[in-house]
Amino acid sequence: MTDQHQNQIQKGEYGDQNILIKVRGLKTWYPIRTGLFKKISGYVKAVDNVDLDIYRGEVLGVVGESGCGKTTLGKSILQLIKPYSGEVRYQFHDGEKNLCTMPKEKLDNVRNKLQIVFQDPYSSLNPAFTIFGSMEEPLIRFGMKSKSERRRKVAELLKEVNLPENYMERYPNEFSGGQRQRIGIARALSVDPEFVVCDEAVSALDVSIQAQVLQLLIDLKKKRHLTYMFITHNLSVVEYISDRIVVMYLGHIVEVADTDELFQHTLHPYTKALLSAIPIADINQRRKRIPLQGDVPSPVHPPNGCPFHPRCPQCMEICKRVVPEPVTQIRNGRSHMVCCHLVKQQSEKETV
Amino acid sequence: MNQEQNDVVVSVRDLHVNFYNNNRCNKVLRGISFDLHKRKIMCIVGESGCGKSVTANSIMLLLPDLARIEKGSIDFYYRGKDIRIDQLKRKGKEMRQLRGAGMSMIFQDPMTALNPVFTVGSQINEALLYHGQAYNKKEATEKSIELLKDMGISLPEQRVREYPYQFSGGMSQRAMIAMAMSCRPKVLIADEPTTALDVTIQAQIFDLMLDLKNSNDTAILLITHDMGVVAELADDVAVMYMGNIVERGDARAVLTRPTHPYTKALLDSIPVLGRGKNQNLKPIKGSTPDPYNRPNGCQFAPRCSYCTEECASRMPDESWIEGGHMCRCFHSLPIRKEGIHD
Repeated sequence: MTDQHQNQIQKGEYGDQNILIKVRGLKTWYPIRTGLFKKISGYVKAVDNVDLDIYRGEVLGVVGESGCGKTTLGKSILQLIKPYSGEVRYQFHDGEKNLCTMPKEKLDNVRNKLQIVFQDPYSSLNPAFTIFGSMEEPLIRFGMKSKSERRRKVAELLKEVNLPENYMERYPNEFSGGQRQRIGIARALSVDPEFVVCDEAVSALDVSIQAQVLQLLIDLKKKRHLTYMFITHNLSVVEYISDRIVVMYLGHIVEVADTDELFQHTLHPYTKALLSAIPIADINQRRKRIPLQGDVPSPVHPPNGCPFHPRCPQCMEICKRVVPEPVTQIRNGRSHMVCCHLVKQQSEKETV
Repeated sequence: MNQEQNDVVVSVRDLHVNFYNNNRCNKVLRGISFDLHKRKIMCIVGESGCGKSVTANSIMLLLPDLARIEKGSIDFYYRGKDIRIDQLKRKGKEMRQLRGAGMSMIFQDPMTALNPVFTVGSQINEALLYHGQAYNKKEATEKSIELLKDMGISLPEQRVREYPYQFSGGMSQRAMIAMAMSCRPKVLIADEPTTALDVTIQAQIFDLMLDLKNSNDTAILLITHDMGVVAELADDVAVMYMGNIVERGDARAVLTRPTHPYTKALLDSIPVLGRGKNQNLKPIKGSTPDPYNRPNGCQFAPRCSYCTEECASRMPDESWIEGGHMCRCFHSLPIRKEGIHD
């Protein structure tokens, strides 16, 4: 990517040509099979009807409670879970292609562009392989034949994530959580990806180690012009690292906006409640909590209408029947998308 | 002073706990002291492996078989008596009568702390019946329903007959709190009660704990690694590192004017919500030392930017800064003058 591109993104000119991934009508439904013949009796609608654009060079944060479909969304974009329907169009150098309909062999050949850093650094490394063994696999797949070259590359990568190169002969059990996570990051970067999904990449780490890994991710992004999709439930981390934030609830995207915009002009009642529920590590800053009643409903039987209406403090009649359409507001030249009847009515009133 | 002493419910003095595994000895707690006051929330923060949970488990005497309290005392002032918990038998009658009635505990993972083969109701009934809060099963079940209702669980009559797997994470945690609160304990020990839960559920759980504190004069010991929780709830805070309390005092004082380099580094390394992208996070260098191969002097010395020769040779003693603010560092005064970075 050229510097000019980078500047455009920093200035916030999100043009169409800068879209790296277009997600359209993505549905990831897990079948529920019951009975003797394993007949499909229903679906868990983990991701339901998601439209999303991911721009080149940005850090897109995805937040939401557990079970809201954040991880499934990330994995569906990478085709690690096959979506039920919908499109994921990826902008390659030779044009846009739909990853969902791509044959497996072709998909495997472009996997080097799309990588993931997993949540749990303890289970994502094979304990029977040395670090070199784990890290050379993707290099072999993408055509690095000579072993000495692979060793050189692995050493280079380890250095990039601030680990000594002689660590490559060791086994995962010899490392701490933070070190393993850095190895996981190095492995994802080994094939020079463009797009990296960080699925709760710092959640399993201790607070003092979290900052190290966050700093590393930011440095690598600048150096290699990466695009991140940063999935987490920790809003302080997401505010620190992301350019744009997607808020999910029960498989739906409820709000998308630039980070500052989202925190300053929160529109969706769920986002408001979520933000107010977070304890802030600053004793001079106190906010009034918006209490939410009950739990997240089961995605097998999602409520009719707006998915959030059973817990919403401002629920109206229409919310119980009609699924809200996305409303886009433009503030300071930046778009702010929200799916809420209340916001829609208020903005209509304003225009009248 | 007298008034203050009456408020103390649990007092831990110079507690040393060792674990003996594989012919090795791990000195998990290396002399910690603190008090729990009536109607106050005390938070213990620290990284994993620093001994937070062992502290909680020592008060409840729920230590593993190969662990031993080597030195120090735990006093529990209950019904006008001074009970030396460290001298009781772990599985003895006295201790069993205290657990659940005098002091009770909420564990980190509600899904594994509840017994999967008993209904939630029967598990709450057990505590009520054992401690004489109810005289027969019928009465106990009625009380359990009442408790679940207080916890904000819908359809408690039906829920009381269900098994833990039918409960969501937040609901099982609320059931655990119902169990812990069933006998109105004087001390509630909560070991990372909300780490496995979502923030919206976390807020609900904290409200329940605050209710218990205010309605029953309960002293709460809350163990967490989330500085946000400390800022929100704590009256007093103790920062632990590798088996020592390195800083202790009023929550406001510790958070706004941290005096120990570790506390300061910890506060500098976490992103704070509302400060946006321009925060200057400073990661703490290195990682926690191996507990079998500890540094000789101050445990934080290898990672500390203020470290001098003296730090490497011996662990600093407790020094008092002002009021009840304690810090174990040779360099506390210059650090205090600097203030925190913003």
